[in-house]
Amino acid sequence: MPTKMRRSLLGYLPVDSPIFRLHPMTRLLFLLVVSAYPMLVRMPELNVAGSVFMLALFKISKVDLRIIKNYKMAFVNLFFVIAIAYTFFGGYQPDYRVLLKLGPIKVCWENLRWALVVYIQLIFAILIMIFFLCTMRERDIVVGLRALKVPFVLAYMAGLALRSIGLSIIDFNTIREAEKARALDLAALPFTEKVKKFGMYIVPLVALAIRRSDEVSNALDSRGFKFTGLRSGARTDYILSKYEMTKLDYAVLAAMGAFLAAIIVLRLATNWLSLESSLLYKI
Amino acid sequence: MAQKSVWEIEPGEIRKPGTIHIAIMALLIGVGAVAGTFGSLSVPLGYGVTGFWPGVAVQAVGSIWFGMWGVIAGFLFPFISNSLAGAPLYVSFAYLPSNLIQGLLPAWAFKYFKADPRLTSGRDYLIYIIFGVILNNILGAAWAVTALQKFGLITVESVPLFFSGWTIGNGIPSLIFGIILLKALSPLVVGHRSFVKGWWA
Repeated sequence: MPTKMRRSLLGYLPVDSPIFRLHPMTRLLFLLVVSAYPMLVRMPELNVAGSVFMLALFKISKVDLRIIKNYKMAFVNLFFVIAIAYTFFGGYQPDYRVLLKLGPIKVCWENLRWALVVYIQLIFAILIMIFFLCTMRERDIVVGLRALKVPFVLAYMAGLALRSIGLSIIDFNTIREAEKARALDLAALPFTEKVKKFGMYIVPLVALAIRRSDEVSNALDSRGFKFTGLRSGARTDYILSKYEMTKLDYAVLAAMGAFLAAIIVLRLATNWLSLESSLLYKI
Repeated sequence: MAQKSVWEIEPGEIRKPGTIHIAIMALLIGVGAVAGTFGSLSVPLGYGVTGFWPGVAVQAVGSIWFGMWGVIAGFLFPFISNSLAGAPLYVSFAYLPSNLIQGLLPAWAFKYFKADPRLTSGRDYLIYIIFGVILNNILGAAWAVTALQKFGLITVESVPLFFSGWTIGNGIPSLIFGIILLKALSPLVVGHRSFVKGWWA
């Protein structure tokens, strides 16, 4: 029997994914809290452990790992950018160990090591972001914001903004199809022309957005919404009432909070998380 | 008789924020996110910095047309586009002031100098080029590279590389697409109820 899937911001997820046992607010806070870990920890071993933990979470949550493959080019590109930035523009000090000389450029171990530290740190941070996009839906973000008591107008705006990305993509495809119907062969265009062409799509996209803003605004007005919320005053948040915080949510939130607090304390009070404690700095 | 400025409030005209502004801001976030993601993926330089970012045209022009609604959309959509392109959340946070200034400065300049968004004179073009192409992107790039350097993501020596990448990668699209957007759509927008003459309405 085919698995029933649920659309997320970045693909599809099986309906029976364990991640759906968590309240959307917990998942939203996961992004905000866990994203702080790689920002606070430089030590590459811990960031590798964090990346492995994230990959395990991908697996447990039944996320299609092919999505990470889509980011392959981004990871490769990032590696080259960081490596070039740190080897060719990394500076030089007399105590640096020179690994390679390319004319006037000295490739030093200290610069390369720093590039590795930064790269590993970013990989962890990017995996957190991809996990969030893979496991959240537009509706989850709105529910998460409402559960965090974010004002209605902001939560509504966030929902509408996320929805409008989908609408813009549909518009984008419509424009492209119309051009193809007029015999435009995109595959035959050189890269620079393709980039220029894609950029030009902004004009019809903005024009369509302006036209659509009238429809959305009229729909809001006709349903009794006003700038600050509902004209009729407070009412039950229907979607929010469909979700409930469970013991699992509280446990996950407590663990995330405790971990963050531990990182901050260790960072301030000890040098256990410092780069000097890393194996890379003992080489 | 001299033509009236589009920013001038007509006698008896009452302007206040409404649902149309919420709608236009949300939709602008959508368009910006699509344009920004495409740009971030097309010529990537790393950390969400790109050699060609058409999203900046949406920031500058959206802010000129829709005041603070465009400015807010302009600093929110890069969160989405950077995330989709694979930039960490804290890097997107670090770029927030850059994205704010890239929209705010041209919006302020057009209002302050009473320039016409329809670009009806050489003066209007000049104001857009100075504040919507050059100054805003230089200030945005200066903040962004400072933040990246403070986070330890780039070295002091590589600052000029990222600075020039940001300035050129934003400057060219805001010059080309910004002017096209203003010329093509401003006549429609200034007559639309979403057009913001002050900052909020």
